[in-house]
Amino acid sequence: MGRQDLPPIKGYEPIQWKRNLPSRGFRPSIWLGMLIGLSSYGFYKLIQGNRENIELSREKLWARINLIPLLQAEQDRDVVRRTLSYYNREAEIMKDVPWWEVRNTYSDKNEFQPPHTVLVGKQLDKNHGIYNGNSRNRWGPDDSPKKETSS
Amino acid sequence: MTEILEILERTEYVWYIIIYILGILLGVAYLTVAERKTMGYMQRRLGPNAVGYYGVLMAIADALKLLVKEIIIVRNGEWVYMIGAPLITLFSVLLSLSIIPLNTGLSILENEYSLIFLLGTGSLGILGTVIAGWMSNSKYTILASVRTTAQLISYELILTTVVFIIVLLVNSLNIEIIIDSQVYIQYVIPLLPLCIIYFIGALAENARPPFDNIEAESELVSGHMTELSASPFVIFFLSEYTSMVLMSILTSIFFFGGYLFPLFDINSIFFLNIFNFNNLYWFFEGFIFSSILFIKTNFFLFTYIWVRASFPRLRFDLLILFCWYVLLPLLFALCLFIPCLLFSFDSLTLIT
Amino acid sequence: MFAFRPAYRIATLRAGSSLAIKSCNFSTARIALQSLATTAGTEQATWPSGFRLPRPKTWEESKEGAVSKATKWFLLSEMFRGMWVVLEMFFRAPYTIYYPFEKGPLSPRYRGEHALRRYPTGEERCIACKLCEAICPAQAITIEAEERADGQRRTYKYDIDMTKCIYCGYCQESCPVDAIVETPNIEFSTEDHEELLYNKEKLLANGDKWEQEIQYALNADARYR
Repeated sequence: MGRQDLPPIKGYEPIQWKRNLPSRGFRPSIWLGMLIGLSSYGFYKLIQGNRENIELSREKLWARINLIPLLQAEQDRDVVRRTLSYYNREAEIMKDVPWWEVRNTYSDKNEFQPPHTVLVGKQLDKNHGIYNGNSRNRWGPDDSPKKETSS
Repeated sequence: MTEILEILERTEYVWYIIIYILGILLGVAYLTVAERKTMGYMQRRLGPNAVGYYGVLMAIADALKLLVKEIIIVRNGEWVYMIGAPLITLFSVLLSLSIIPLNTGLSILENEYSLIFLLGTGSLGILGTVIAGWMSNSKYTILASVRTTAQLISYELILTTVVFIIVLLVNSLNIEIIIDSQVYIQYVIPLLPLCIIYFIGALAENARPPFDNIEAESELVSGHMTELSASPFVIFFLSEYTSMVLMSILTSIFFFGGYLFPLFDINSIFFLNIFNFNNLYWFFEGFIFSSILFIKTNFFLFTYIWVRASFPRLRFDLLILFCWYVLLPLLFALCLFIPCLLFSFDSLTLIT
Repeated sequence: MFAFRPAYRIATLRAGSSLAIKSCNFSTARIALQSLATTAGTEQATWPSGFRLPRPKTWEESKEGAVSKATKWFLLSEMFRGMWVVLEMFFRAPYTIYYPFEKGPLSPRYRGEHALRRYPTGEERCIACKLCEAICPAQAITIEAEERADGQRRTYKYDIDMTKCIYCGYCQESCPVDAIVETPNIEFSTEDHEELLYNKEKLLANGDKWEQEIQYALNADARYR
């Protein structure tokens, strides 16, 4: 037989058998400080941006406020035109009826008033007949529908 | 010829939708291959590399295989829902994808309340899971689907709360305004922990590892997808990956500025001096900005796969405990803290 | 804190006064580690120094503060460390080889397909001693022998069922004339099951085909057999 298969004379190198998990990275308080710093910078920019947005919306709101007279004037012209044409039509239709006066039914003032509807609010509508009305009590404050009378 | 052009112009919306959805589905198909290859490289092996050059045709091979397979029909259960349940999930995800802006004004649906729409359609997808579990007429699938539903609705709360905090900062439910207000600072920098929480919630919502007890169940006894064999399974599979893409897009929209350039404010000035607003300009601008959105999305998709390769699965009760005992109290604390912070610096936008 | 461990107490009694008592950090027992020179003849092994880990510190004894622990818990420090390791692996070369074009290294002792060898004169080695049939754990070898025409003891049937064989190499070890050997070949898949039930001709032909390879393997390995 030849020579035997023996280990080397000086032995083998030492083997690493222990775990080697070195703790890496900064201390956790440093990471927390970095996070707080980054977050603060972010919120700073965010708050500045929000303030600019507030200013922009304020500008938008004031622009709309300043436009109100123009739009109101346009609407008023339109209302006047339509009311006058309504009265003209009414005069044209009722020109054969002698006792008919072409004017707004509920006003005795001489200045211009377009036809308007009755305002109801909770203060004006004491019995809540119109505000809380439904199809059952449309004709009166009691809850029952009006009975069919021979009228 | 002019009539054809007229018809094309009148149905322009339809063409846009078709191109968009086809693009997303093609991307999702290649996402499956990309996931396998990326996970392979992370595990120091190659992914699929034999089918095409570097494995790019693997998606088509998978699709062909699944389409040709035999569909096993559940007779005693409600086999109508075999196609219906996965389709509900896919439909809800594709519907959520329709409001995402690729550039200013470049989305299929846009209105002032698109965020609520997004949250709503995101919730619809869970219905597919419920129905699929019930359809199979087996106790185990019902149990599995109930568990899955519990997980999905729990983590949806987290997503909704994070979105709620973002809305507090912006004071608008319009996604384009959320993106546009990130011109000053992208919300990841003040809210980095929230970005991580949102990402974890998105991982759990899609049932991706380490929260994928759904897939684990199909290894063990049966999941809610047991009885679905070939084509219905393809639809579930597609809807899962499309949901992944959707969540990545949402993360990049809420925190990283969507289609805006990452750092500096050159978004509106960049191109104006060069072109004179012809069609080529619009194409160029749309291409650049949607590429930015999708590069950011790709980063998050890579992180999905990265997280899958790194962590083992969570036990189910620990998963639910994590949501309700850890994340939700933290989020509620942030919900209380952040408006106070904003209020103390006079920056709550209350007028629109 | 002083849990008595009788075995170690005996050890401290047995060892003489020339003990180098190295108390380890494991303070709940009174272990004395013997130095190497005094362990001759004892059945107690010597543990390397520092073998036992120290008792983990309770939360009162540890120097880590609450802010540190909270930061590590909320910011998922170990998770990101794990993810970083995975990302490092992503950028390193994969271990995969392209199998049909690149193959991995095999040892000369590798046990693959079987072969029946011959002497250099061309005479087959197998003398039908049936040692391999007796030792085969899966009973995959079937031998029937008869006196050959020229009076020698040879087999007329030597079948190995390759689907029963577990490729353990016992037949190769037991053969006194080194007739049945295992080649390093593993690529012998067939399309029918019947083709895998090897008979004598197939084994002999294998032997003729793989003789050079078998010879190389024997040259490398025969000193250890």
